[in-house]
Formats: sequence, C-alpha cells, structure tokens
Amino acid sequence: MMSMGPLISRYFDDDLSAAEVEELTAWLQQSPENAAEFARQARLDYLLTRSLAAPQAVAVEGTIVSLGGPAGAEEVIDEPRSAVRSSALWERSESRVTGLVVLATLLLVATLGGLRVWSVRTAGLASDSLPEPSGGVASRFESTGPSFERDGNSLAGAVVEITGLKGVRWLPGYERRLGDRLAEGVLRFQQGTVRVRFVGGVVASIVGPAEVQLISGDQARLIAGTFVAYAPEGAEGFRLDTPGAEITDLGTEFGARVDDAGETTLSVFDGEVQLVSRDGGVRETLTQGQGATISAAGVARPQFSLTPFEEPRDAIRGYRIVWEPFGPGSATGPFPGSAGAGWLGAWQVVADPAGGGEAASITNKQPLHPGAEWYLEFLGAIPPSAAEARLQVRRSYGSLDAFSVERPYTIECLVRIQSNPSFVNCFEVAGFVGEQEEVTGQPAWAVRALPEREAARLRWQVAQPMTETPDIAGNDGPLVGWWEPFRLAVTIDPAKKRWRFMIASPQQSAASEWRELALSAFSDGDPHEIVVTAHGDTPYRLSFAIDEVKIRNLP
Amino acid sequence: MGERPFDSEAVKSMTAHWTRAQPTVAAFIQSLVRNSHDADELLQQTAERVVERYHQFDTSRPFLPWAMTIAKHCVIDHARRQGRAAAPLMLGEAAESVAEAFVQEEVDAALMQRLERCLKELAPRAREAIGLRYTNDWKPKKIAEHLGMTANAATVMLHRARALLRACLETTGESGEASR
Repeated sequence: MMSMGPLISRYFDDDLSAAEVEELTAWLQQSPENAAEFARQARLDYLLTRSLAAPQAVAVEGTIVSLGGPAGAEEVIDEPRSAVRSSALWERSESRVTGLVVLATLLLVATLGGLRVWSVRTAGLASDSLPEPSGGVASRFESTGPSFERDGNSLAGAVVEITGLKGVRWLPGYERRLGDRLAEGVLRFQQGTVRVRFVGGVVASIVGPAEVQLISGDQARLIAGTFVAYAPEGAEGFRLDTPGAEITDLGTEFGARVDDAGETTLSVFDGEVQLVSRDGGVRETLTQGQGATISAAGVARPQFSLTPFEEPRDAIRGYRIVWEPFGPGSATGPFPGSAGAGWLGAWQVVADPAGGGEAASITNKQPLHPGAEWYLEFLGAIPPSAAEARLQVRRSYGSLDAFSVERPYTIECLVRIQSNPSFVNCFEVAGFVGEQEEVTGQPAWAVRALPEREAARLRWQVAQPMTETPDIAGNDGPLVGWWEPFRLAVTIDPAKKRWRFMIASPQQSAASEWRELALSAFSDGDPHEIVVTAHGDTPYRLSFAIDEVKIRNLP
Repeated sequence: MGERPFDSEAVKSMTAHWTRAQPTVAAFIQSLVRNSHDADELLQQTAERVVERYHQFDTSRPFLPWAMTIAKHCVIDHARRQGRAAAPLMLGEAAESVAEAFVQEEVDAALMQRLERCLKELAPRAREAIGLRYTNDWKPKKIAEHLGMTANAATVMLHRARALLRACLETTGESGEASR
C-alpha cells in the first residue's frame, strides 16, 4: 500500500483538498496502527508548533550585532522571539475577522473627567504578509546603482550609521557592513532587519525586502519595506516620504510600511506625527494609537496596525524583560525569567473571596497552562457559595543591566479574558511602586475595564481617583469585544512622573493622554510591580490569560 | 454548578494530573482541529469539563485516557456544530481512533528538549523550511517562492524534514527515557 506519510505531512501543512481529507479520515479509521502513525506525526507537529517561536528557531541567517547601544557598548539586539509569536497570534486573531468591513470613520473625541481625551478609531485589519523577497524586490527597484560613500570612521558627509544587522541578505552591489557610515543614497536588501541611526538623532529599524532612499540626516524616502522610527527629544522633525504620503515625526515612535502596490500603512505608537497625503487632501496630526493607510495616489483612511511593526520595534529597542507565560515551551520547560531577566521574583497568583475570607496564594512551583491552572487554583480557594471573588496575578521587576525603571519604559501585555462575560465585574491592570501599596493602598497607575454585557464588550478607562469605581455611564472609553486578544501598552515616564496607555485589539485602538503617576515618593531602588486582576460574581468561571509581557525602555 | 467543592488534596491531585496531561490533550486537539483559535477554545473547554467532573474520576485509574475522552467529546461536538463544509480541515470523524492512539503517544517535556537537538541535525535548508512553516506559519507555496523552488519541492522537503525529525526523536527516545 502506498505510504500515507506525504499525505499526512501535507495535512499538517493545511494543504489538503476536501477529497484528500476524506481519504485521510477513512484511512485513520481503518486500523489502530494507522491512527498511531498519525498520532506520532501529530505529536511532532505539536512540538514544532510549540517550540519554533523560541529564539534559536527564528529562521534567519546570521546574527545581529550592533554598535551604539547604551553608553556605546557593543550589544546584541534581542532576537524577536516575542515578536514572532505575538505576530502569529495577532494574525490568527485577525484572520477570524478578516471579512469585516473597514469603517473609515473617526468615531469620537470625548472628554473623561474634563482632562482626559480618548481618541478611538475603528481600525481596519492589516494584511500582515510582507512582500515576497524573491524576485519582486529586485524587479521593483529602480536601476540606480549604490551610491554610498564610505568615509572611514568619520561622520563627515554621512547621513546614517548602520548600528545593527540581523539576517540581512543584501541585494548584489548593495552590501553594507555593521558600523558603515553612509552618505546619501539607496539602501536595498532582500530580507532581514537593518538598524540605523540618522545623523539627526532618529533611530530607525528597517525590515526587508526593503528599499530606502537616504536623503539627509533627517529625511528618507521609503520605497518598499517596513520602517520604524523613534525620535528622541531633540530629533523631532524627521521626515519620511512614501509613495502616497509625507510623514513628519513630531517626537514619537511610528511605523510605516509600503507594500507591493505602493500603499502605505502608518501607525503611531507614541507621540505624534503629521501626515500629509501626496495629493494634499489629507493633512492631519496622528497621535498614539492612531494610524492610517494611504494609497499610492494619496487616498487615506484610518487604520492602526501593530503586527507588521513588531519585529522592527523590538529591533530598535535595547534590553527588555520578556515573559510569555504560555509561550512555546513554557508549559514544559523551567519557569522563565525568575533570575537575570529583570524580574525580582516569581509571579504570584492570588485568589480570594471579595470582601473577606482567606486568600489562597500560589507561586510558580508548577508551570502555568493557559487559563486552566489559575482556574483550578481559584476553584480550590473559593467556596462555591462566595458571592464575589477576585483572581489576581502579580510580579515585581526592577532595573537590571541596560534596562532601567528610572528611564521611560513601556509595559506591553497581550491578554485574553476567557470568562463568560456575565461572570466578570471588572478587569484591571495596575502598577505599584515600592511600598506604595502598603502605605496608600493605591496603585501608581491603573487601567480598568468594565463589562457591557449585552454588547459582549469591555469598556476600558482610567479610574480617577483610583479608589473610585469608574462609572461607565456617559463615558466613552475604548471598547474591546469579549474573547478578543488585546494588547495593552502602558508607557511610564518616571522622571516626569507621568504615564499613559494604549489598547489595541484587532478591530480597535485607542490611547489616553499623559496622566500623573500617583506616587508619593519614588526612590531609585524601589521595586515595581505589575498586577492583573479579575473581579467576578462566581469563582467558577473566572479565568484569563496573559500570553506575553514585554517591559522595555524606550530607545 | 452545584458540584461538591473540592478539598485541597483533590485540587492538588487534579492540578498535577492536568499539568501532566495537558500537552498531550493539546496535541490531540490541534491534530484534529487545525484552526488554532478553535483548538484553543476546545482545550479550554476540556479543562473546564475536567474540573467540573473531576469528582467523578476514579483516581485509581490513569488520568490521561479519562481526560482524552472528555477532549474527544469536545472535538466531536465541535465538529457537529461546524459541519464539514465549514471546517474542511478537520478530522472530527476520526477523533475516536486518534484519541486512543494519543494515549499511547504522550507528549512530555523531554520531547521538547529532544526536538531542539534534532532540529540542529537537519540540513540548513530543511531547517529553514521548517522554520518558515512553523515560525512564520507559511504554506508550502510561499516557502517555495522564498527558497526559490517549486511548491512540490517544498512539500517534499517538509515531508522529509519531518520524517528525519521523527526518526531522530524516536531514536533518542529509545536510547533515553521512555516517552510515557
């Protein structure tokens, strides 16, 4: 009999026709041996799925080494392990709703408490596949030859310096090296990630296949590829032109991507950019959590995308704390991040009846599995008769090596709330500093979501003051549907004692304005803590998952 | 609702059982339900049913077959709801036989470590193809375009790479600890 191996292999490539699936189904039912053969192959497929987002499995050539990291030290740019995984997660999530019609509508700008401004857009679903590297890049590139002028170690005449390379496959004739100072000209490569520092101060990361024309120390033209720029204070004014738009950085972090059709996808992760469409029809300032797609002809519509920019965003940043509680391998390997990665201790999972009763607390003695273990522990801790209950996970972190809680940093969490909407009263992500909780009982910052059960949505908002239960009536915080994974990004600026947050789901994004950190005092050595809490009516169905946590300084 | 509350020993026992069984249950579900979101939902649903019914479990018997039975019913229910037309890449009808096979093919932590070693033994190009398939979630056609080969060649390369990985896993497994 013909081997079914190739057919099974193609099944795990999701590459079978309906008739072939039927054939495979019938074969599986023929004998236990057939089923066992399938199970062995399936086990391998599962293991590969679980393991290949790990750092060693990122399928790129070479290594990325950069100069010009903090204090000029040589550093290795982090492998984008989380970027790969989270991108995949977003893609899966987005694929479920790909058919949604994009509503190009600026929904609202509403005040909260007279001070806070929400800006919410419906966001279209980005196509996340990059242009194919083979052939297409070369054929689309203009025929001008490379025009870089190497200038030794001098910056005279240079526009940018290459500060990082990862898995880069240069197009013939355009090969560059780490540390090269480049004058005006064209940067072209087929795949990989290139990090550069413009003379004007902007740090950028470019993912290939890409073609970027370097115009000056504060201007470039993106012809193809994905480009993320971070402009620190003093480097505002950087301009990136694309086929359909002129994007001017007003002190921010933004990403732009130009696809095969010349369409630009623009997303603002922090601060502001000014967008002017090529035809002049759009002249708009976009802020954190906003974005747009702009056709080659200059027609713009609102859209915010995270996925295409995950990898370059990781590449322009330095050291970060990354924990993927349910990431590949974490269910079977040692609990990650407990030492040497910025975490000051293990995660604590606490379950208790609201308003009294004995709390149950566990640590990381067992690996956590998606939802289940928290759920189990929770169930064991709370009597079924409890009218209200709380499930909380918390972990402390602090400065380590090149990461510092004294410099501005962001916390990004990818979260799923798995409970039935009718059982959750409130979901909260908050941060504490030092002994603050013991002293004041209040977090330094907190974002809360309250359910709108009939609509199966969560409405996010900042509670102010923290002790008050937010009243959702009349407020217009961003909405996220139940079961949708969402990314919550909190930016903390300790020096200015302020913070803000952005929330993005596959369908919506929104950002808050800067708010004051509720800190009475802050000393350098204070530990910081992130706390995620779900409040519910019943202990039975309260569960959520944090797929990823990234804590990292701004570039 | 209405089940008797668990005592702490039962919770510990349930946690230990589920911790060990979960990767195998997840692999089983993933093998039959290729939509990852649906697979995640079914795993969660299985976990919840395990909790709800754990007091019915006879602790003198193996846990994995019991949990797999629950998972199997979750998959079958899901398949009925979806219908074949809605989920062509799902082998719901084969759930019965595949579930039994998985009880004999338990997934444990040692396998993951072995896999890491085995991946290093692949030829660079095959390793790249596997990486593109699983890290980037690319289909053979796209992998072929990326690697400059035909789609058929990419399919064959993936098949051979899997065969080598399986052989490596089973060889190192035989020389090391048993997989269950």
